[in-house]
This record gives sequence, C-alpha cells and structure tokens, in this order.
Amino acid sequence: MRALISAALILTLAGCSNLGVKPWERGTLAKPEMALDSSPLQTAFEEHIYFSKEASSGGRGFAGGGCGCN
Amino acid sequence: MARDKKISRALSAAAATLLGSSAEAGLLDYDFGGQDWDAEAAFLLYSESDGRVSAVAPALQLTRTIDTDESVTLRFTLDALTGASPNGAVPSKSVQTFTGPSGSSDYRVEAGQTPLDDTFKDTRAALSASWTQALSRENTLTLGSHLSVEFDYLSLGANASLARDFNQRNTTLSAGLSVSADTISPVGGTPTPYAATAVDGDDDQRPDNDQNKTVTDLLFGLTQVIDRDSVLQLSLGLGLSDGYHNDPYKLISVVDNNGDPTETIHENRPDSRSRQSLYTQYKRNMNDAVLNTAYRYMRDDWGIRSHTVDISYRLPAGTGWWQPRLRLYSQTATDFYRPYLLDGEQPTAGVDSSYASADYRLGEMDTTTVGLSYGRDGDRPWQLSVEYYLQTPKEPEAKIGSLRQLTLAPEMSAVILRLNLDL
Amino acid sequence: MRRILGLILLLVSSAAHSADLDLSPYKGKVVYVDLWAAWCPPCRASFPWMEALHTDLRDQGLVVLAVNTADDPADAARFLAKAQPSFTIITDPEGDIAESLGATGMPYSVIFDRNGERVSSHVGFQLKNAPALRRSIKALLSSTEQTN
Repeated sequence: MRALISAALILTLAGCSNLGVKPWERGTLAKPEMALDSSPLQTAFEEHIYFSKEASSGGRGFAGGGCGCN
Repeated sequence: MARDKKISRALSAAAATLLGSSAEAGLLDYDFGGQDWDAEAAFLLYSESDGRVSAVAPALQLTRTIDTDESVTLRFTLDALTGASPNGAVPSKSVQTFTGPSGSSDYRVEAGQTPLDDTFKDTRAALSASWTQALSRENTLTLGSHLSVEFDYLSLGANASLARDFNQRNTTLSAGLSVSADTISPVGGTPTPYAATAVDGDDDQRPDNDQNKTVTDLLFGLTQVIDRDSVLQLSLGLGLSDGYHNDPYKLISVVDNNGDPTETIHENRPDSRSRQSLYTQYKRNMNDAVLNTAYRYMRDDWGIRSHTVDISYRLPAGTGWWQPRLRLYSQTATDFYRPYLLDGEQPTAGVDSSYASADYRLGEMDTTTVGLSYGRDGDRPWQLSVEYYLQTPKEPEAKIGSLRQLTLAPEMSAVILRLNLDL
Repeated sequence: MRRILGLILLLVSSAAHSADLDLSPYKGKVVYVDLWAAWCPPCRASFPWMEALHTDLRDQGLVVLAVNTADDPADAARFLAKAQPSFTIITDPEGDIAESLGATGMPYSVIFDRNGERVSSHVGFQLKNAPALRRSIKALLSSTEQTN
C-alpha cells in the first residue's frame, strides 16, 4: 500500500513537469477569484468557527498558482 | 565649451535622478489607488438556535505593499460571545442545579433539557501581523505572529514559511512552521480531574494556577498549475500539541443504574495530542464561473478521524456574482469520549492517567454548511454571505435507564451572516 | 571594456528577432521592449517608471516599446486609459513575441542596442531594482553615441 502511494506520488510529480502554462498565459489564474485562498479574512473567520465547534482544524495550504508574476 | 556641456549633462543627470526618484515614490499608484495602506473590513454575525451561543465579530485587515514582491499585513479581530453552551452533563427527568465556573452562581436546568451553562460570556481580541518578501526570484519567505487575548485565555504565536517556485512558477513547494504558546487561566481556578463540582456555591478548593499549552504545526505544500484555467494543491500537515488540553468548564454526569445523575464531575484529557492531515484543493475556471473543491482528511492520536468536503461554485451575474457553497464534515469520536459515566466507573478525583470527556465536540458527529454569497468586483469589491450550519452529533446507542427517553446529543444549528468590503 | 562585454553578451544571446517584433523603424536607437498585461500587478506598477524612462531618455535615443501580451483587450484598454503612457504600445494577442523572446516571467523586458542586437533581459519588476536597470540603460545610451 505504502509502495503504491509512493509510486502514485512520484508519477504525479513526474507528470507535473508536463503540466503548466507559459508565463503570459496566466491571465485567468491571476484573477482574484482564482487565488487558492481568495479571501484570507473570511477564511480566518471560518477556521475560528470550525475550530471551536469541531474536533479537527487547520491543514489548509499555502500560496502558489495565481499571477506567477515577477 | 566641452566643459560646459559636461556640467549641463551632469546637471540634467542629477535632475533626472531627482525626477526619477519622485516618480518612483508614486509607482504603485496604479495598483493601489494611491493609498499607503489597503484596508478590508469584515463583519460576522453568528447565532445558534435555541438561545445558545451568539457572536458578533468585526475585523479589519490592513495591507501595505512595499514593493511588487514585498508586503505587510496586519489584522485586528474582536469577537464578542454571549449565550449558553452545553456543559457536558446529561439531561435528566428531574430538575438539575449546577454551579457556574466562578463558584458563586448556580443555574437551574429544567427536566429533559440539555444542560447549558448560560454564564458563558467572553470577548476575544486578536491581532496578527505577517510580512512576505521574495528572497530571490524563486524563493518567498513569510514571517508572521499572532496575539489573541480572552478573559481566561492568552495565545501568543509565531510562524514562518518558505515557498519555492519551480518549472516557470507552475510548481510551488512550500514548508511552514508555526508555534503557539497558550496560557489558560480557568475562571475559579483549575479544576481537579474527576472532582465533583461544588454544590450551592461551596468552594471546591481548586488551585488558582495558570495552565499552559504549546502547539507546533508543520505544513508541507505542493501547488501545481494544471492549465490556463486550473490549479491543484496538496498539503500535508503535522501537528503536536503539548500541555493542558482539558476544558475547565466541561463536566461529566455520573449516573446510577436508573440513568439518574448522582453527581457531576470534571473531565480529564491527555496532555498531548498529535495530528496528521492531508488537504487537497482544486480550483477551475469555466467560462468565468469558478469551481472550487477541497477535501481534508485528518487523524489524531485521540482517535479522531475526520473527512471534510468543501465545494463552491462562483457564477458571474451582470456586474456581480453569486456563489452557492456546500461543506460536509464528519468525525469519529475520541477514544475517551463518554457521554456519561456509571456510578462506580468514575476514576478517583485527581487521577490524571485516565481520560474521559463528555464534550459533544469530541464525539461522533456530522456537520453540514450550506451557504450563498453575493458579491461585486471592481475598485471596491464587497460580498455578503449567508450560511446555515447544522451539527448532528450521534446519539449514544446504548443508554441506561431513564436516559433512553432523553436526547443526549441534540442537533444544533446556527446562522452565519458575513459582510466583507474593501475600504 | 563595456564594449567587449556587450560583444560577448551579443555572441552569447541567440539574437532572437521575431518576425512579429519589427525593430526596423528604430534603427540606431536603443530599444527597451517590455512584455506586460493588465492582469499582472508588477507590470502595472512598472508603467510610471517606464513613462519617466521614456520622457527622460528619448532625446538620447531610447525607444520604449510596451507589448501587451495575451491580455483581455478591454482590460488593457481600461488600464491604458488610466495610465496614459506616451511611449509606444503594440499588442501580441497570442504571445508570439513573448515566445520568440523567450519570456520566463511577467513582466519581461529585453534591451536591444543601437545595432538592433539583444543586449540583456529582465524578468519581473521591483521598485528596489528599477534604479539599477535605469542606470544600465543610460550607460548603454551614452557608451554608444547616436549615429543617425
């Protein structure tokens, strides 16, 4: 099972090198609504509500995607 | 003559430098409306059914863009809570009386009603700051800190994360560390595990000392741009929490063979908790409509296994947009979740090595959130959201005596109203 | 020394002259080509800087050529109405110029010397690096006097 997961992960990562776009093709990805966290303030509120009402919290990810500028 | 030319050239160069620098001061005007700080305000109203918890929370976020690759964000949040919250004890076929945490106020719970502690009032003030800067073209560092103050709780934390871009920024790998030091000052002192609660305002002689908890979280992320319209993210989270985990206000009913409460005692949880989580998010633009899907699996060494699915769909409509949203959450119970204890089963007061809690949030439970948002884009975007949150805890299968006729794990619903606007 | 360095750079860079990017009208000029889009914040932030660059150095033989790359024409028009640049704007709707110049980010700028040879390129735009970029353009302008 562990080997299967590792293999899947490696294949996914290898596949990533073929994925993606040219730097000038990010017009859609750069839109605010396409940001992985399009409203951090709202996310913070939600995390706080669910943190105090449920037994699991956090685990969300980081930056990436978007404009990819500079 | 040649000399004059040189001087005039030097002068014009100096002038150009001066002009250049004054122009540079206003370089970001096109982006940021000529303001030094960008402000976003949010207002949250949270209201549970049956007079349980209500919260009003205004927040303000200020962002200063120092350069195109450097920014500072400050966030202030106030959170005023009122209302009643389940104290963990079971309902009973007769009237019950409990003593409030401060030891001075008693409250009555009618027969058949879920015992709610209505002395529950708190205001939280939170402040967080973060700074993001590109270290190089590929590496971005974010440093942050937070401070959160409540009447009986203080949390102080710091975090750092590094993101590295690969493959023409189509792939981003990131790693983050967050550490938080919390101090809990229970109202009326720290209760002794399994000690019976005081009756009629008696002093149950608790030590008045502060308790501590340290929470360390590690997060590893992979973000991949799939094509012009979609992006995928995977995150792996590892968390370790060490210290005082008890809820000083949560109680456990001890019942006899007829299901009638004989006493109410304080709970006790392990002094460490380790969590692992896997989070994945996929976002796709389809003709200006945006589909967002997220899934999280989380497990901890208390026995919690949880699944969360979150789906939203943003539809453009004229100058604005609509966004329906559905979130489904499901958790198993912790190993030490006990809706009540049988008389004789309860550990001796002060025994720290055995764990039990009747906090329904540690029991098996499903929750559903259904929401709808409407927003406008443009120079001053805003959005208004209405959400309905329903908690369905699992009713214990084997109940004893009179408890069979009572609901130990009632449903709870809440309405959440939220307004976000750029100032 | 600078000439030698320029010559080396010239030999190293694969003088990528796209059929789409026509530099023939700017013979004898130093050309600053900037690939930008309205959806790219650092691109927008570079406009006042490019405006100053253009007004200050055009008399010394600098041409600023801003190439609107793979952008929504309406978004680009709205931005240009606000920015009102005095330098030249051309469009590259499919990103052919970007492809031929080998852009590795946005914005992406390429400097061509008076002989039309590619001298250097820059990815991104930061306020803190802008003065150095401006100095290098000025140096290129003054090291090679205008011939026509």
